[in-house]
Amino acid sequence: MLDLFEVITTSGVVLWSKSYAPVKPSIINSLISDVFIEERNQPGSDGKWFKKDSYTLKWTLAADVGLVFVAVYQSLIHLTWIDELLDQVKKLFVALYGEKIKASTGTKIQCHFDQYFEASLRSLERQAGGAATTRPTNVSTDDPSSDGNGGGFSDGDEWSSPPPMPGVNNTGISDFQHRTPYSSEKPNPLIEVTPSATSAPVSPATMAQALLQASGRRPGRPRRNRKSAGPSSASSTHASSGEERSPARLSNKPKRGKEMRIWGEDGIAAEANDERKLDYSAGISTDDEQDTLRPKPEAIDQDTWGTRTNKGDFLLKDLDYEIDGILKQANSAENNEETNRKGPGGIASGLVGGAMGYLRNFVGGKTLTREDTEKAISGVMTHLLEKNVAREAAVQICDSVQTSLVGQKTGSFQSIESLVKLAMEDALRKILTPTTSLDLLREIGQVRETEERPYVISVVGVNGVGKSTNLSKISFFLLQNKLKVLIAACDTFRSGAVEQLRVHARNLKELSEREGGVVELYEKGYGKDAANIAKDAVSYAGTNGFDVVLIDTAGRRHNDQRLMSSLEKFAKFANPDKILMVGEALVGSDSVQQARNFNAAFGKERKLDGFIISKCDTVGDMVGTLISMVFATGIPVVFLGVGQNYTDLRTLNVKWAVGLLMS
Amino acid sequence: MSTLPTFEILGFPVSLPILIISLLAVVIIPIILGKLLTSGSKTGPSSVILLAGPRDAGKTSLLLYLQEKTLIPTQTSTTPAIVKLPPSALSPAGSEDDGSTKPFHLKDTPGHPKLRSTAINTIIQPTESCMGVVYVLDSAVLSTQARITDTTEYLYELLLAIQKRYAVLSESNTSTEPIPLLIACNKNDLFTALPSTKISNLLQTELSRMKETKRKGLLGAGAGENDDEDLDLVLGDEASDQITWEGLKEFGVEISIQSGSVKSGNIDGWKSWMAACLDA
Repeated sequence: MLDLFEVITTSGVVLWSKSYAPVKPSIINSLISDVFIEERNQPGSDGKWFKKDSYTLKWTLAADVGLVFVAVYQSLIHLTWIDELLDQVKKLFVALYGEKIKASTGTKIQCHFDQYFEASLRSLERQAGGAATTRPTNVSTDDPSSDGNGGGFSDGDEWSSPPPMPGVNNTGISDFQHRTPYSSEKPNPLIEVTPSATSAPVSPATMAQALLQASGRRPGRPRRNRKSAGPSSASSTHASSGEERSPARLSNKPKRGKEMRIWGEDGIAAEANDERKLDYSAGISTDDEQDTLRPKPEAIDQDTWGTRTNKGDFLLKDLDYEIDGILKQANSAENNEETNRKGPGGIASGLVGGAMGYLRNFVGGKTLTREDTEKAISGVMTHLLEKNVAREAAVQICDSVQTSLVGQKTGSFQSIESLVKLAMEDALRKILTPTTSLDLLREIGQVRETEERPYVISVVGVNGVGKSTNLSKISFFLLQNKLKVLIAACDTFRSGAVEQLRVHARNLKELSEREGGVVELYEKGYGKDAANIAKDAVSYAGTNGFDVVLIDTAGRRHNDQRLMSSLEKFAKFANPDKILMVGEALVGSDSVQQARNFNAAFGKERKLDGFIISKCDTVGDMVGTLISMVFATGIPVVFLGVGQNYTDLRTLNVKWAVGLLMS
Repeated sequence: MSTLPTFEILGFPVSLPILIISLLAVVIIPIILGKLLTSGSKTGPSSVILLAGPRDAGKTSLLLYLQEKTLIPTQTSTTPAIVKLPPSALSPAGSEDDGSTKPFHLKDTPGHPKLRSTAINTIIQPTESCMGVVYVLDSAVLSTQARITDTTEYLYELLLAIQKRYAVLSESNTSTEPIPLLIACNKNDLFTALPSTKISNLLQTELSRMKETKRKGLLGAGAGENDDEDLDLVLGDEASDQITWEGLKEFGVEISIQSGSVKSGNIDGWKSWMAACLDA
């Protein structure tokens, strides 16, 4: 079942929404943050859906008017027509309110969209046929051509649409239901109690009977129907409005009968008249004595039934036609655009348009299509590839930039190239800007103050990328800030790894002694389990009052499952506050896979917390690895290694990096 | 009879005036066409009040409340929105006068960390006439450290941008008005909301701590390469890490702080602040 449908502007205003079940707004917020802003698609979704809690979200964008259409439904249910619904609603909404939205600069507009939405939803559900949402009704299966009752059956078909969608037609049901006489009270609850009626079996016989009996009192329905289906009341639930009306209507009937009797005030000999009138009213309001009177109203009914139903249906038909018309128009407009694009020349008007379009290329004001940007985008893509951005990342970034540009207008004397370049700069800045604070010193201070335990940092990475070197750079930085640092040698595999750290620790001790830093090495030799050593080191640091524990790990190939699997245990045992992955700036296309594999290696709950990009001094301005790694995982770059000395550690300056990449 | 000098172009004799006129036409027509085609969308609005703050704080809600006078549901923004409002939008609830001042613009900016550059750029660009900044924050979530850090970090960047703008403008211009900033503690109708005085103290200590760690922290990459002066600019006084609202005044940052709630319509204090901001 569809739970929620929202139309949102990119500036965050909910223009229209329809909810069938309460859904927390944070569900859609996380879609916007994760997919639209951070551009991180969930694995396997291919950017087509988004799952959060027990919901699945699907969406479509109307970039030219800045709208997002989101449908939310329970993940358990498989709704096949959601994409179609999104597409249809998008076309309808843009056709109806597009101009208004453009004029309103992205804020609230008034829109009465409920009827349109209901109608398209219903028609899609009907098309879907045996989908999980349509109730298994047998009313609709009857062929409506058999007799006069056929009209009733076809109407029943309409009514069999899922009740929780209050709509144009359903208001008709309640109206109709209150006109049905007392004797047919039995089947009524089935029709009226809407949400629960989904599964309640409605036998065709009772339904048909109800319809037949109702038919006698049909006049006046279309008008009332139209009124109640008006935009203002369409959203109110019909059940409640029906309840309000019902007692009045029901009590009306006996009253009317009495009034008739009083009506004949002039005559004493009005008895005969009176009786006739009594009979007449009884014939309509109760079906008890229908034997003699029945044929007459029925005969009338059969004549008017069809037209009446038609009239009753007219409202819906109108809407359906309107919707069809709008959709056709939208489709044909699309087709026209395509054909125009294919053959711009040829006809005189085409020539003028072509000339204007050509002129717009130079003076600006051109509305961009995908084709226009193709050349500029491929230029930027080559540029990115030259900067050592992994191909996978470059393609995806270019694609999203291109999509964002479609429908935009170039500024005066702005070439497409410069526009594309600006958009690319924006995209790169957005990718590199971190979403969380990266102030390590403050975090350490907070942990020390509030939790009184050492702050644990560990570094992981492929062999030879500079894990130990960067670890000692970090410890030098921490020592300068007068922190007590414990270095844990958890590379128990490669010979010489512990000795290497011992040398670093000795050097750091000498360098920092004057400034009051304390550094110690925690080593347990080779061959032992790294996770256990790390755990021991953390508890040792806790008892000896160290501020920070830095854990060095063995280098491992990211596609070696055997080596990577031990990382999960490591993360669980040592429970580091920060797991930093060291990646070298030299690496090319492999960077994406490295980042992904390491990010996934720590189990379900744990992710990487940041990257250290080493050897940045060796690549000049080809710092594409930064982009590739961050883009693949959405994890920020915390440090850059820019040289051989202990002091050659930097934080990332986004402006600097974007400048290098675009130069 | 002396004639005007003529040229032969492609075999046709062309007189000088005609040549000049046609050349001018060649130059001017595209410019006019360009103006027409872009339909003057470039003119930046005057007297803008900027809405900034972390996400889920209620910026867009505040904007819509001022515009429509009702609560309208919102989701996370991804693009800024500029809305022109009549000055009556700021008159306190009930009174319907004050048609004296001119209309103003409210600029709503996204609060997502990746999109904060919009607000920062609006402040830094001296061409944009920013009359004031309303920093909307959610006073009900300031009990968790992560949200405090997020809130403070954005505020730090904004204050730094305001200070920078003031420094740049006051160098060239003698009479520079500093941009005032209102810290609007939204959602004070909630049970967990902190009072504004407490938030004020919290933010000042957090800002001080942030300044300290920023001073002690590592340099950014590329620092010192092409003497980008904005890298070594610190908020407030360089001599001390302590940040107080009074201390920031001499650096062109004027801060006021007020509680309120969009949801319960309790925003009269913010309205009058904005009105005072526009009158100045």
